[in-house]
Amino acid sequence: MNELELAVIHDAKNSLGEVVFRLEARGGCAAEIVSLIHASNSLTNLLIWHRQQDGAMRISIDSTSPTDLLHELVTEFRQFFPNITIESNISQAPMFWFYDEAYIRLALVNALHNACHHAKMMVQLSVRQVDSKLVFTVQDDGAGYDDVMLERFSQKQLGEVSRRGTGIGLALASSIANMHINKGVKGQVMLSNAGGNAHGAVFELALP
Amino acid sequence: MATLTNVSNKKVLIIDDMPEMRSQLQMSLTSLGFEKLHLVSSIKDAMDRIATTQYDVILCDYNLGGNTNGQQFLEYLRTHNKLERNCVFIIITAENSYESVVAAAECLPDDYLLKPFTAGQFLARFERLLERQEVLRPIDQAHDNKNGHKVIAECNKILALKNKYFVDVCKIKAAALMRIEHTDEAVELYNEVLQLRDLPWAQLGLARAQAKLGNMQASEEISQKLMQTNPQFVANFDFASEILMQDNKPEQALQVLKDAAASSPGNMSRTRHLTALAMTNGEYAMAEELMAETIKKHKHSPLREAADYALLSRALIEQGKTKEALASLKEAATQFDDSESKVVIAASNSIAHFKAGDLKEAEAALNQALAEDTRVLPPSVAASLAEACFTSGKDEAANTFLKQILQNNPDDLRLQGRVKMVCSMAGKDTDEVATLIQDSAKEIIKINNDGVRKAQAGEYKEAIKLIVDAAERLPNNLNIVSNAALILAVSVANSADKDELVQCLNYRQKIIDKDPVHPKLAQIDAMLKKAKLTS
Repeated sequence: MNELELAVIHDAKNSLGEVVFRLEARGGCAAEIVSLIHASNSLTNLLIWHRQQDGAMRISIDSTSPTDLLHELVTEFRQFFPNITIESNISQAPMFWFYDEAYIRLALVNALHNACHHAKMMVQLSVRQVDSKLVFTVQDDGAGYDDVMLERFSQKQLGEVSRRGTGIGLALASSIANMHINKGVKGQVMLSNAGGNAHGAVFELALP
Repeated sequence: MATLTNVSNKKVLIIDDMPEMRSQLQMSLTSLGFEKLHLVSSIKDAMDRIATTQYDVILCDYNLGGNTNGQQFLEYLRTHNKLERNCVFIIITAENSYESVVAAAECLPDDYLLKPFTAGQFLARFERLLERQEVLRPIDQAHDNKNGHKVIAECNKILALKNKYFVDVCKIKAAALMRIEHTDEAVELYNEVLQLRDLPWAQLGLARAQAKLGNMQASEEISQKLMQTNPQFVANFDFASEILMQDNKPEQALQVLKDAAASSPGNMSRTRHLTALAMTNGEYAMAEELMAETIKKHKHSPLREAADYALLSRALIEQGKTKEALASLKEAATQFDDSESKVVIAASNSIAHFKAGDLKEAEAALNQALAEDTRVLPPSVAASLAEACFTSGKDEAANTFLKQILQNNPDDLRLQGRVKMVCSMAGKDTDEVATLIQDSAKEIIKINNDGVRKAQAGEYKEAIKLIVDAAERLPNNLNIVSNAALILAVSVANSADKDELVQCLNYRQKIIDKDPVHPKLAQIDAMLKKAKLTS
């Protein structure tokens, strides 16, 4: 991406950010704010995706609280999507874990936007320790991922446009997870559809 | 919007060069209940505000227009002790600069917000930071009360809870252990953290601790490995270059710092150090390029110093460009009018004139520099004066200024490097420099020993005179200053002399300001308690 393109994207992002502040101050504009934040995040995804592709993306891992992050996200998204019930489960969360909070937040925000967008009425967000990994889960009660999408994801054909979106958010979440390495084990993103009586898409982000 | 915290009395400073962004941030924060907001558009205005108001939060955009960014501003505030301990500094950044903010581990903001963010997100972060401040308050208080052992005890209390601050507190405790020279325990703690995760700061901590214990090979191995696994972690490059300088390998030290500058450009103190190293290695063109670029880049920034021009002019002079050197010093003279800057500029002018063959002008400029009060000078000023004295053949005076730097900053390896640079440019060989460094240290030991001997013999007045004289001359040498405070405290315990008490408390405060966990404070306080004169 050349400097002009970068500058144009930043300009657009700044303008979107300004409108978000203005609408927030006005109040009662949750739906508009969501759309704007989503638009701005898409541009951020694109910029970071390019950095990642150029091998210029670096993560900084330090100790941080998964519960705090979840709390922040739930509070924010309840305001964004007042018609969706957002539940969070932190009962099996460790006190602290090691990751780059800003980038993991970005990956989860993408997943949450997607889930809230496709949910009928409920989104569940949880964080728990499973063996030696920390697993964030975002589950909605919508129609779930279609087979083509799951197939593509399992084939690592990321970043392709589908009915559910551009795929860039997922591709980015996947690379962010992969960059978290501990003792040779990489983090990963897993997609599935809820089985049994439950429905909906399940996004899991596991960090070693 | 509902808030959990009463924020109406919190003082907030917003620094952003974009007027729309400022007013939008103001609107957002006002809607959250913040009432005491100050908005500024430039670093200069921010500095004026910070000098007069104690802020709870500073919200600073990374991109401030011009060429000085929020990270550099934070670095300036921290290195000049201009931020209160409980002021929360948050950098607002776009995704492109986020990584450089996080990688600048030597000077991290309390938090950063990635654009775009909502007012709600800001509030959530702010509450998180307040909660952290509250939990860590006992540690901060122990720090303020200069009690290193208490800092560690308070850390242990929090560590026992195994809460979300566990690793943060390990970091604080390890640093405290290093300061009170319980280096073995620090090594143990760093290793404990590294068992949890290979964190760069813990690796660097371990490398420092091993170096302090004299295990240079182990230290170097850790640092080298860290360079490969975390090339963006610039603090490690600084450490590696310090160790190389100590080992008398300036060329390798220069290379390491060049690598660091490539991954984290714009750090002023590193640029200055790098320029000085380039000069030591005779790479004057490189030094010129580095400093000329920095000066140009920070043209209207208050972060520049007259000493930057002194370095540039010296690099120019060494390449025979005396006219250009004089021109750049003329430019400097129009921008700095404080006494110390005047000394630096006059000293540099003296060198330029001398090298241009204008001996009369050279002498006049040097006399002008020496006419100012030169008893206690900042190191960069003393270095400039020493250079000018060497150039004019006044070696004895030059050595006095160099000794002042060394004795006043006994543990600062960077400044030792600067002294080496001045000497090597004056054509002194490494043996002469080594002798100068050794003599400086010996003089301090002698003053301390003589003082203690006199005090033990009951000759308090003589002991006090000797050590207090040195402490006045070397206010940064905490070894001397703490001995002055201790000897005064002992004397006060015997004589209850009020003037001596005032003087003692003065020095005690100086130690606390510079190193709140200084090991000798406990002894000083015990002595004052004996005299029943502490609060």
